[in-house]
Amino acid sequence: MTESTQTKAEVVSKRLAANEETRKAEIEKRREESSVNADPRESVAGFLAEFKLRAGELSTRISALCEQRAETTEATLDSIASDVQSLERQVADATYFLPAYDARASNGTVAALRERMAGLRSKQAPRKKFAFSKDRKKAAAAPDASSEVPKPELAPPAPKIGSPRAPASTGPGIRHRKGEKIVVDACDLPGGEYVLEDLEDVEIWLCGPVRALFIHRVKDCKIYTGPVLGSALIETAEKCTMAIASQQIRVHSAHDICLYLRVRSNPIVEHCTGVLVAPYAVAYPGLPEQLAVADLASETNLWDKVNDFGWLRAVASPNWGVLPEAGRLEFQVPAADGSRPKAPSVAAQAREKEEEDAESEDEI
Amino acid sequence: MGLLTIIKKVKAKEREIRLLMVGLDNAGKTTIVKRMNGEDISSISPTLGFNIKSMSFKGFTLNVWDVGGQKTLRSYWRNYYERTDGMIWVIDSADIRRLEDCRDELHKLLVEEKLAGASLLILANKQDISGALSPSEIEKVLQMEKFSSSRHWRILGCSAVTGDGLLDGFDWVVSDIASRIYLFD
Repeated sequence: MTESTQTKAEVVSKRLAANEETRKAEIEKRREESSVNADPRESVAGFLAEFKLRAGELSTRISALCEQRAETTEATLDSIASDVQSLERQVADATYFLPAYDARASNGTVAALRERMAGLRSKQAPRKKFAFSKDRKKAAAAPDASSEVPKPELAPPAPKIGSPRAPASTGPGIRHRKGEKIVVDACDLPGGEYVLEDLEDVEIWLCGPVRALFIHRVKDCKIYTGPVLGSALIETAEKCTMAIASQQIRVHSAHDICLYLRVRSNPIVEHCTGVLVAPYAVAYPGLPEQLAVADLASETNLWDKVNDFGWLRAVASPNWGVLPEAGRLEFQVPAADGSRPKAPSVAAQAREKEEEDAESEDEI
Repeated sequence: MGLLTIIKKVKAKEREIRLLMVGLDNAGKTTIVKRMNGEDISSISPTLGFNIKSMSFKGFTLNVWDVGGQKTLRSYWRNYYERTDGMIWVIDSADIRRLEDCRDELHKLLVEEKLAGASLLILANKQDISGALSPSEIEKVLQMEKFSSSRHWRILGCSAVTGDGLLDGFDWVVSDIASRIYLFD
């Protein structure tokens, strides 16, 4: 009985051992199969190792060129460029099995290489890029009609804008002056719009009404006007003193200017700094009548109700303020040259000089 | 009954038209609206924000949205595009220097998807000022030809101060919108 039991046990253990062996063999077989089937290119570690190697090699080649240890020629540049490109393609192919971080890191490395290449190329042939784009434009414009579409947009505006612009330069106004003193009498004012443009260190008196006033690009100027029946628009002014009576006043991009205003609506400033306001104080013969016609005879008390469009908060805008009363001036038209009666010319000149002195003192 | 028919019927019942007044600062937008409404125009301040005016015109109720044109406010214009039936672009015809600015801003507006169906009336304002450009001169600078196929538009001269041309302009824009939206039977 024991013997038979023993033999039985032996048989069972043998069978078990055989089973075990076949199982092991099967595992081995499966492993072999899977390793045969697996794409070697799908191995993350393998890819990263190879990528690192190739990127490192390219990087040293580029550095060599940068430090001019090797001769920079078109051929070497091209070969590096094509290598960078193939590396980039490899990364692109690998992205589907690479973990997100590795994909991102590899892309970053390639981008850096590319950038260094571009830098090298522009150093090597700075004009190449320009010539290339020019060629391409030429080539594209000729055969391909659709690519011509942006071209007419770019080209024709010049003449089109040119023609309607012409009246601007010939329209009434004072332009491109420097270091002068100009008095314009009412009879010389057209009564329509008036332009003061590109002035530097100029003193201007407009002794009469205009419909609209445009002041543009003025510096170190003194501008005194009669009533503006419509609106006054000031854009780009620096270190100026202006006295204006108007229905509306808009000031854009002005810095360190002094405004003596009488206005029938709230004056506004936009993109300005250092704007000081004071009430209108101008005198010349005939002004009171002109102001009465323009409905500006009496103080409207809006000169200090300035709206700053760049400062839409409850706190007062830091861009403008009220000129202290002690610093305010009054402006009297200088008895002028030729057009006015010259009778007390010496006295007038003396007075003018006094005024100027007084002004400059006050400004100091 | 399609959705469009329903919308048309609802709109026809209300007979309301929403107009958007836009343009550079100093163009005279507020003055035009006030003039149309018969209000005092002698002391209008530059618009800080916007004004809404409702007025009756030829049996329609016009809701006019008058939006400030200062540079700092232009980025807010797009908040007013929704459900706009017509826009009125106002130009200061005497401000020749900024005409190109004006054109660029207008072109920006015209590519807005929300305004794609809106009729466009361009008012060349301040024609009463000597030295103002004529509507046809302004039309040349505005280069409207590239939009003319896709949009109902018209340019007219006007003066908010004298009132000339305003009624013609509003007449055109209202009848254009009406013929588009409302069914006259």
